[in-house]
Amino acid sequence: MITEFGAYALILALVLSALQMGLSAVGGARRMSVLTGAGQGAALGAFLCTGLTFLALVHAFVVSDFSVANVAANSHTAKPMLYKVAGAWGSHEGSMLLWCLVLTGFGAAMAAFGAALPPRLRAYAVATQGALGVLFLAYTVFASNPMTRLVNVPVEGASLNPLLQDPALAFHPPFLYCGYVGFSVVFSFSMAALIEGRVDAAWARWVRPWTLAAWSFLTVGITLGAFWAYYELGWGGWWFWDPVENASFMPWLIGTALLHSAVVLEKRGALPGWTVFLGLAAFTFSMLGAFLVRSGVLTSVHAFAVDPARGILLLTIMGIAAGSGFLLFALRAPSLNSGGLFAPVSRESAIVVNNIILSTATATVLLGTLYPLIREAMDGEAVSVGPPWFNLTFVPLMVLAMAILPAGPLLAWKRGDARLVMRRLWLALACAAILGLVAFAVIAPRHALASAGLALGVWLVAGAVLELAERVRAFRAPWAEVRRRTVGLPRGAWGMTLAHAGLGLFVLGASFETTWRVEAAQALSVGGQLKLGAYELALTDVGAVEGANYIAERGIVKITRGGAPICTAQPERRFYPTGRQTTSEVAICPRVLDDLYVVLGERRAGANGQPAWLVRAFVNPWVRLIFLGPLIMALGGLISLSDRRLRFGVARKAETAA
Amino acid sequence: MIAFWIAAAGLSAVVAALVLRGAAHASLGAGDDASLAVHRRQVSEIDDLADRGLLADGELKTARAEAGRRLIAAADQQQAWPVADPKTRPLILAFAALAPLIALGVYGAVAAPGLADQPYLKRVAQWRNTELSQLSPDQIAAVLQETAKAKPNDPELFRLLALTRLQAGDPTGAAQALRRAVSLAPDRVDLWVGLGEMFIAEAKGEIGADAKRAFAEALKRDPANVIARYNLAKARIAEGDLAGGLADWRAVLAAMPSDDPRRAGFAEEIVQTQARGGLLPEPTAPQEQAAAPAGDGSGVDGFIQGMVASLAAKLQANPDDADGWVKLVRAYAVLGDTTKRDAALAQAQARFAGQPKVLAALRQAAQAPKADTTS
Amino acid sequence: MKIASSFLLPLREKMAALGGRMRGLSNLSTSIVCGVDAVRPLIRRLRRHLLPQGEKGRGVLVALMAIACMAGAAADPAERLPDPVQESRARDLFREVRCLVCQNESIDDSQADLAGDLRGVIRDQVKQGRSDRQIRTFLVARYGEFVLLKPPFSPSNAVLWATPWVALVLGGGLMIVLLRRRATPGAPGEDVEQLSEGEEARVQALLKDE
Repeated sequence: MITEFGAYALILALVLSALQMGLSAVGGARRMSVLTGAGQGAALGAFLCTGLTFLALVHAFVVSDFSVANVAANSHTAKPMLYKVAGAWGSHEGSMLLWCLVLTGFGAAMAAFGAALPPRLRAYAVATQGALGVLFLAYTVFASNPMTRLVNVPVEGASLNPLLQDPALAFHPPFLYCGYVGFSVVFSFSMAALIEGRVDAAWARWVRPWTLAAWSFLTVGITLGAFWAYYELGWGGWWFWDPVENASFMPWLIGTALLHSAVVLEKRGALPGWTVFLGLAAFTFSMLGAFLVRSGVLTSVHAFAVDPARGILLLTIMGIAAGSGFLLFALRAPSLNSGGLFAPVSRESAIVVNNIILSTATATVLLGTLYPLIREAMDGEAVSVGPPWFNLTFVPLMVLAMAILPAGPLLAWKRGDARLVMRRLWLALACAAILGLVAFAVIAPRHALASAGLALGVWLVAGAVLELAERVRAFRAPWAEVRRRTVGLPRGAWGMTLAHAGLGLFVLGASFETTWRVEAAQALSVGGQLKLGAYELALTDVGAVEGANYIAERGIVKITRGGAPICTAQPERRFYPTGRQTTSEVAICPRVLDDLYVVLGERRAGANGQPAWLVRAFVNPWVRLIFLGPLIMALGGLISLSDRRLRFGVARKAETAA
Repeated sequence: MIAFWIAAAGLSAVVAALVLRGAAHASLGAGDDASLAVHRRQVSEIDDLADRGLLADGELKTARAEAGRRLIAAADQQQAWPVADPKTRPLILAFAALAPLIALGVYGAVAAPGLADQPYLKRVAQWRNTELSQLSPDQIAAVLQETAKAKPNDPELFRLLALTRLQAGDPTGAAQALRRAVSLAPDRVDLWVGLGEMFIAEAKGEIGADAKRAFAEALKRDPANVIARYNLAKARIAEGDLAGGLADWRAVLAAMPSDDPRRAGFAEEIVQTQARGGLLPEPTAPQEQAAAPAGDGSGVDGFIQGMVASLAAKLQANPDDADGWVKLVRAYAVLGDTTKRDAALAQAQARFAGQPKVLAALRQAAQAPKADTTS
Repeated sequence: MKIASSFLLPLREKMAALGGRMRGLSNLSTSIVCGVDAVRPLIRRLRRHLLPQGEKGRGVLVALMAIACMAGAAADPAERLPDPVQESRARDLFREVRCLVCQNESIDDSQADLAGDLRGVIRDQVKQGRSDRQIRTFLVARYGEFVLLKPPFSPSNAVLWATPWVALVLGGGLMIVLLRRRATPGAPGEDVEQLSEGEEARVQALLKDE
């Protein structure tokens, strides 16, 4: 009953989305508030229905109802409860349902919290969101229905890929999708503004909170994904320039560009066309990602819900949505007012440069991702584009962007003074140069690039700190004034500083980790020892353990440093009988910033007939920053989001009083 | 079923109400004032920042000028938003009523109306109340497994579970259950012996180190155990010690009671083994072959074999597909089927003699390493 | 839960046996499914997969490949070269060479059998004193350009290598052109920097209007 109810609710959601689209569009065009109001009601209804379907699917997973095809294919009674629940979005069908849930959720949010928007803009935006809902819900209902039932109900389910049975991955898709699909709101707002032919500062202010929210979610989602790869795939890498990773990274890059250009539009009324273009592009890249991940046109370590037939449908949906968006843009863009002027040296220019670099970087990632397909289509030659290519193209671009980053926030709007900015940043530059040189000369004499990366990270962090200090006039004004300024600083400013500093931390972590990583591997029998940099590892025992749905060998590895015990790592090698899969469960001993990373490998015959295990261990220095940095960036986004200025319906009086 | 209709009707009513409520509330038209409000706030924010000294003087003036001009422009663009038109109300009502009807129609076409939920525990309870002969082994195993959750310390239950799992074609699960049984009752000789036999069955008749260890554990507790002694002796023969193994076997036979029905067959085996100078060929284990689980490697193997066969057939019909030949040759090479590989290679090389690129690809494909498919 | 210690051994052996078997299978399946897949244009590939037959099997294969290609093993001491300089050169090369049977990994990361073989080949060649360039040429001759994760600088890859920089230069150029063009002053008579008295009055009125 519950499953069938969910199936009905899903179809009702589709009908309501159609209603939402039609009523809002007609209501907006004819200025009939009854129709637009009804359209908003339909948006709420569509979200309610999708939510109920989602709950019904989760319920089917929780009670292991194998009469639901999706549950039978992706669950198993022996699976721990968390992964039963997470199984609901672990498959193609379930993840598309989650996508629809977030999509209708944002539509409902627009309907519910958009009271402060001009009614026509709101009506068109809600209509566009409804149209997107129709596309994706129709796909879900007719091509990828998660509530499909089986006539011959199997006794047991086929289980979920054990690699996906991991807490980080259980929460990774919801965050990622809130990010991906969050850009649908920006898309809808862009369409609405283009239909109306008006893109101005007010529009930017309405769009910015949605962009910030989507961007923050996406940042967290990508970080969780990278973290998962780091400890689940078992060789300590966290980013592989894999098509699936790129698919999530491209919307992020565009979203980042959009965040910045929207500020220019809001403050100066400049760049309206470009900002709208980015608004359309962000969600287009999200849809492209959905297509790339699911269609299997590119091989990937993350591909798990591949289905080429449905890939074509997704490509069609993307074509319809993005095609109509860019067509409208082409028609309307020439008539958009170009807004305020600015000098070549100004905050606006800095942001334009940032946008050029970020867009180029996005195009680069896109090219690298699709190039194998392009080459194949052109001359049939199969090629690979892997990390070395991205390191030689994408990374220098980003280095360029980050080199000018600290200067941007210090430049004045409209007309800036480069010399003044450099005077304020000399300390950061000095810190960066000195640390980089020290690193080059002392810590690792041969690693020029890594030293440069280190210098760059310091430059970013110090630049962010100095920028904050400059804003509050620290060390230059009396204490009382500094305090007053600090308290009065808008949250948006704090958010920006945090985000930039977080980026710097990430750069520090990434350059440190990739260069000064220590690796050791040896086949150890019980009692064997292994030296890893300054640490000694001893395999003291290997025992068998039995989990809920796996059996495993668990090694006990005692780690000491100069005789002092550091920790005991317990890496596992798990065997999941239901899927007949073996996974390695990495043991991580977290230090303050470093990780000691221990992997238990295959069993093999060791010396004198004793069994031995290939134990691989890494010291991953400063790896914490790689994941902490982006989280701080996301936190910065959320703090900006909480800025009063972005909240709607707050009385101006209350604001100035505060 | 009735519950479904009640719930569906309830949901339909709720969403209809949401649509109608939206229509009713919307009559308070707001106009383009919202846009003005933002521009107003921008101007006042600039004033506010200036008050706090966070904006330089020059910047303040221009920023204020721009924000002010935007405010004026927005005010000029104001358009009135007419008050609600009551004539549209019936239309909305019609839509709100129509939506659930359309949804129901589509639902009837794409879903399975009236199909009840089948939660796992409910099904297990059903099986429990069903005549055993009507259940498949995996259903019995499911019932036993649920029972075992309630009685986690009953070795007998785990032994039964192991047996049914083996019957259901899940030797790994069976071994898991029996291991559990042994850890619960390490003194039970029959469990150790059963475990040993299970390992033998899994290894397709080979008596490996793990099986020997299990039998040794059994003998520790019951030195006269016939099956354990039989198998350990057999292992001796398999390892090349024919005389020693046969001697052990004879001792086992001598110790067996005279009315043991296995005596005759065993005696025959001893005679034949001696005559042959080694172990008799193993009869294949029937249940393992019969019920390979779907997700298991053999399924994939079968799938691949089928794919290769269909590819070969396609190429016979349409032999100009160079890619297809490369694929076929590689497939045979990987499968280790050298005869077919060489035949296909020769055929393809003859056909594409003038195309060096294809020939190179074919050669490369033929050298693909063989996969060790031990299944 | 801890299991009777005498059963550690069987468990381990079984796992090892299963692991080996799965690796074998994945080699088999990838060479049939993935390897060929990789040389098919997008549309053809999609169309081919519209045939109902492939779907289910492919899911299983994908799952199998995912595990088979897991966990890097380049550091395996059994494979290492005695000379640390040569070894580090070999490791650098590994990062540029794709594991042909995996989803998307370098042979430095992959544990698949074929990756191991390829590491052996490269280490041998490094030991024989062949240069990086020679080794790459050898690999391309044997496996095609597909094997290199860093596509070579060649005319056919010009688009790939040039586009990012061309795009950057074009973007920068466009910005400069637009800035120049827009630097022309606005409407005459209007002071861009400050509100006129009339405007100020209007703004004040609108602000109070609230």
